[in-house]
Amino acid sequence: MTTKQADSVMPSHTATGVKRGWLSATMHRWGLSGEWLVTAALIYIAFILFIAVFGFTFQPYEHTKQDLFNQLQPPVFMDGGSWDHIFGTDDLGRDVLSRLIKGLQLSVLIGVVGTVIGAVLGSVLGIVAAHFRGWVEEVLMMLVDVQVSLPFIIFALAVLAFVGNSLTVLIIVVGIDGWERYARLSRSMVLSCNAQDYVRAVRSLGLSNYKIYRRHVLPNILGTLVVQATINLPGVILLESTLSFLGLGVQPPMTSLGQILGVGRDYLILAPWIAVLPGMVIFFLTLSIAVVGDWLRDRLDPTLK
Amino acid sequence: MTRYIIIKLARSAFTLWFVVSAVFLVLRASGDPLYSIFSLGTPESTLDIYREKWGIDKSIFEQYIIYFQDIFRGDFGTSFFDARPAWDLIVERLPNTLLLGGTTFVISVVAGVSLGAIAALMRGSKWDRGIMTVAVASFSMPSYFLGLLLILFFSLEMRWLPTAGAGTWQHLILPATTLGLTLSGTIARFTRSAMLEVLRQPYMRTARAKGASKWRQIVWHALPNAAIPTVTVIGFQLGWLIGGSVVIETVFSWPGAGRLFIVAVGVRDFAVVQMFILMVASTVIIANLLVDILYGYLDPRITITGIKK
Repeated sequence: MTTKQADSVMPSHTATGVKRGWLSATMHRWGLSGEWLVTAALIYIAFILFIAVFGFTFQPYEHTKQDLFNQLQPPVFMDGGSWDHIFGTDDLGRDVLSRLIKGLQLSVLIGVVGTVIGAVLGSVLGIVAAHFRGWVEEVLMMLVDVQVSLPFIIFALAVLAFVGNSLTVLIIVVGIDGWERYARLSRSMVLSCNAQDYVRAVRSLGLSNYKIYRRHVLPNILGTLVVQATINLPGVILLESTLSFLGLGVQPPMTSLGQILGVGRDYLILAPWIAVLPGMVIFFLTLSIAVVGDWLRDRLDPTLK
Repeated sequence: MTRYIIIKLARSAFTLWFVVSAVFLVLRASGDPLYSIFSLGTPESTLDIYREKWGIDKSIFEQYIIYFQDIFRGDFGTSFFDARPAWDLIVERLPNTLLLGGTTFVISVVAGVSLGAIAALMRGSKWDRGIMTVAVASFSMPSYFLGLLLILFFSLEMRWLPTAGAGTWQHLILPATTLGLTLSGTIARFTRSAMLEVLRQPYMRTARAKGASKWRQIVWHALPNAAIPTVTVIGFQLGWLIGGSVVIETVFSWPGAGRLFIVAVGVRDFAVVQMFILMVASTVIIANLLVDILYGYLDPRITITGIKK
């Protein structure tokens, strides 16, 4: 994605003393010269995080508050819209902006927690496999095969429908998705670390296994794992939104972006804004994270593919 | 090579057994399906008749044995609702699913490989950045949302194409485009990186040096070598395609097996859910097996150690 050429051109540009605006100066300081797309993505992500954390302070209405006299009111930028409901109302007269803020909060929460669960689970299993080798490793690799053999969304749908649905189950299910990528990655990295001199050195000094992995191996592989997590995050957010869209994810009265979209689908002709607005928010969010993830990977860890 | 294939086969069989058993357990662990099928207050005596009829009165272990015996006899259970074999229900919807999946697959392989190759050949240019940005955008897009946008524009606004259902080729356009866009983005990205890898190999320099035409360099020397990693990725995308088509069939009310699955999951129809998952898992496993074997032929350097990826 990123072009290395841009980075090498910029310094000479500065050397000639060309005056730059504060924006490009800031971008340069953060290593973002020429990366307009990445900058925009970072700004958008920061904005979304801000809304997710502090959105409740300026949420105009309660997200469940119904107003049956104002059903399907268009947003302010469409004919018939009013400033009372900037993004309009849905089929029960609930304020779409308030629902977006609330939904965004839960979508981001599930996405981030789910990603962390998958990353920790996968990395630990990978490290264990690389440490013990032998049959432990074989079993892990077979589990990886199992994970790859069934499209995860099908498994997730079955589990959520049959085991029952609560926020905890949903987060765990969403988190399991993608563990095998971290497992493969951390296993191969730990294998190569263990063969290196610094690990041999601390081992011969008699350090316990836990301390070796905690203090010496983990810091070396953490960067790559974090980059992998960034690359996985959009997938986790999309998975949750798809499950919620199909009615098997987040259940009312809680709401998430995918769930709002699922409701809006039934009103596509009458009130397209109910579906289009949350869709746009998700799309730009996953796109931004993907762009940033690619950029991070190219910058920090070109070995990852 | 034979040993390689045998080990692969054994592992695939194990994987399939594991998936089927895990799903069997998850479904049974969820409590008695009869309470969600029948309305509240149905007398236990009536429920008992159905429990016996559907064979869910026995212990889980017995059910498990019977389930496997039946599978080997070619009986995949009977739907609770249609009272017809789950096999028939799914197989009669398969042509629709295969039609959608096949069309999508062809569209995305052709579009993905050519766009990815173009991007790699014009590396660093506006075209490259443009294609790759669109590729990232295409798989960041929630597929169901893309589907809704296409319905909104082409069906409701322009009134060119039907919103839902199947039957004519017009019905196929929107769902296939929705699925195909996402998939071709992924394929384009992998093709590009595979091509870039190949283009910096010494044999490409040799090809240039001996004066092969640009066209011959690409088609004869670069593409076949870039095909090896790309084929693997395309093979792995099959699972994604099936998962995606379950969602898209629901969005477009496409009467395929995926939609049947979603409905069956909603009403806890054990046999249909199990049969569908068994079928999907075996399809993906066989496809991956074929890819692995194909890989072995495409690249003779792959040895038995290649099993541990």
